[in-house]
Amino acid sequence: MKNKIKAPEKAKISAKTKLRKKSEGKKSMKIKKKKDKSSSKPIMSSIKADIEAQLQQQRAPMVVLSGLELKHKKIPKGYVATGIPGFDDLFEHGIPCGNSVLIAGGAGSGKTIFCLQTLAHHAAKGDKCFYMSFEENEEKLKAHMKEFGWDADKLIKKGKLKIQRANPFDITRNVDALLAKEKGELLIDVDPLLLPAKFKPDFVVLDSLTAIASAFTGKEDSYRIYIEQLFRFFEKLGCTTFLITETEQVPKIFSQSGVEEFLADGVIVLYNIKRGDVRENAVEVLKMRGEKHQKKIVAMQITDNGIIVYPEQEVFGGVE
Amino acid sequence: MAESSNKKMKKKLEKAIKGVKKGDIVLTLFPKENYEELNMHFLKLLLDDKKMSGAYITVNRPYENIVEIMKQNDLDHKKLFFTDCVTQETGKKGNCNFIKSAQSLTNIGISLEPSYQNEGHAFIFLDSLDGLSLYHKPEMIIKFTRSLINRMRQHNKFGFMISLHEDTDKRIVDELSIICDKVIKLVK
Repeated sequence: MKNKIKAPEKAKISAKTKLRKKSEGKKSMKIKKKKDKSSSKPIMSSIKADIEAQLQQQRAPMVVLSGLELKHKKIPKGYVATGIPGFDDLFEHGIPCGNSVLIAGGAGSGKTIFCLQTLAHHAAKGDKCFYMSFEENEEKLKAHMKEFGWDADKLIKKGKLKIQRANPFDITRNVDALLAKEKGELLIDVDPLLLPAKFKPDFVVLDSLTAIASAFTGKEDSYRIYIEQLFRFFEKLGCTTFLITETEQVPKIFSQSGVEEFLADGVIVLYNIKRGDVRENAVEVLKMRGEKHQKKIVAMQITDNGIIVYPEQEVFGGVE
Repeated sequence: MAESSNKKMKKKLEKAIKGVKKGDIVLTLFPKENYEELNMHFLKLLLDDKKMSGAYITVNRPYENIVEIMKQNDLDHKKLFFTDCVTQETGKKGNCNFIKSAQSLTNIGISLEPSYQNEGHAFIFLDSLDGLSLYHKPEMIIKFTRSLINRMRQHNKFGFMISLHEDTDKRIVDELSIICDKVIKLVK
């Protein structure tokens, strides 16, 4: 995995710097105009301009950007970042490469956005990313990315991103073969998931384990065996994986059968908390094997540019 | 008579604010009747006399209304970055960030993030604790203000929290009196 901040981030930062310079330029023009008007009193006008410049500096910027948006943590080798402002600061280093991580949360908690944002970040860095959806179709997901300013078509064209929709019931057809393999009755390898040909991903998102589980209704034992095989498959593949699971808004268990959270290397929980007549978003790293992380629920916002996490901002009530 | 009482309170406020040191957290209790006048005088002391700018959280009046009153009092509203919890809008407009409701304390906290990062913002002004009481229980207000004060101290900001002493729960005043560096009680 490559860890350096690449072109898209640099471009974003330099665009913001340009914007700032432009607005500073406008301010100095204003001051110049005032100087011209009071040219009869050059000393007074220079003092006035000086005061005006000081005031401008003190005043709040008209467009307030969260300082977090410009910060990108440097991630050491062997770890990956999500690229989500503020979120990577919850870790000492980052998410260990090759970890399988559950992304758990209720409806509207931002699970899909969280995963798409991470993939957009990695694909822009040059990593090969694969999004396997059992729910929304490719076009909808691409449109969703576009809403946040992530150009999915460009990344797909470059061969860095693949989005594929699959039917969860197709998986159950393979299960008999997987069970036979588990018992040693079948000698050939059967993969629990079909990846695109000639595409070895560095990062995989599976959306969602809940959809897969629904295809196993009444066959809970088969589902458990399938899930074990799936985690082993990702381990063998060596890629970092995010597996989405749908839970309650403030969950007590983080997956369908409860087994997934033991098998997974990490669990990230996204909350959508109701407080009076408003809802607040929050995030927590519940577990991450091989990495120290903050053990607290922190505030998060879904903005027009994607998710921003506020590692220092406490969440007031609602999560017990 | 009333005028001389106002003058006395303003003088007391001026004296108290003069003695405030960088990073101090101040709880100010106003009498109900003089709230608007004293509030504007407070802002005048900060913006004009101390030449500071900062963040202003309003739970009592909409942004547009405060701007109007500030203009009437010859105060530059552009020296403040507002968090409006009253207008029931969301998003940013000019120097104001709108929060859907004062019920969302987390979002009020988030709206202050740019001010913590901005060195030009010397203070955070919370108007007011009794306004928050309409939406939250005293325990929650104490939890929120404690967290706010911790952040202000971390970033070495002045903190000014105002409240009407008639309308503020005694538990809030007692608790904050312990944490704040100064308590200014203005009585007629």
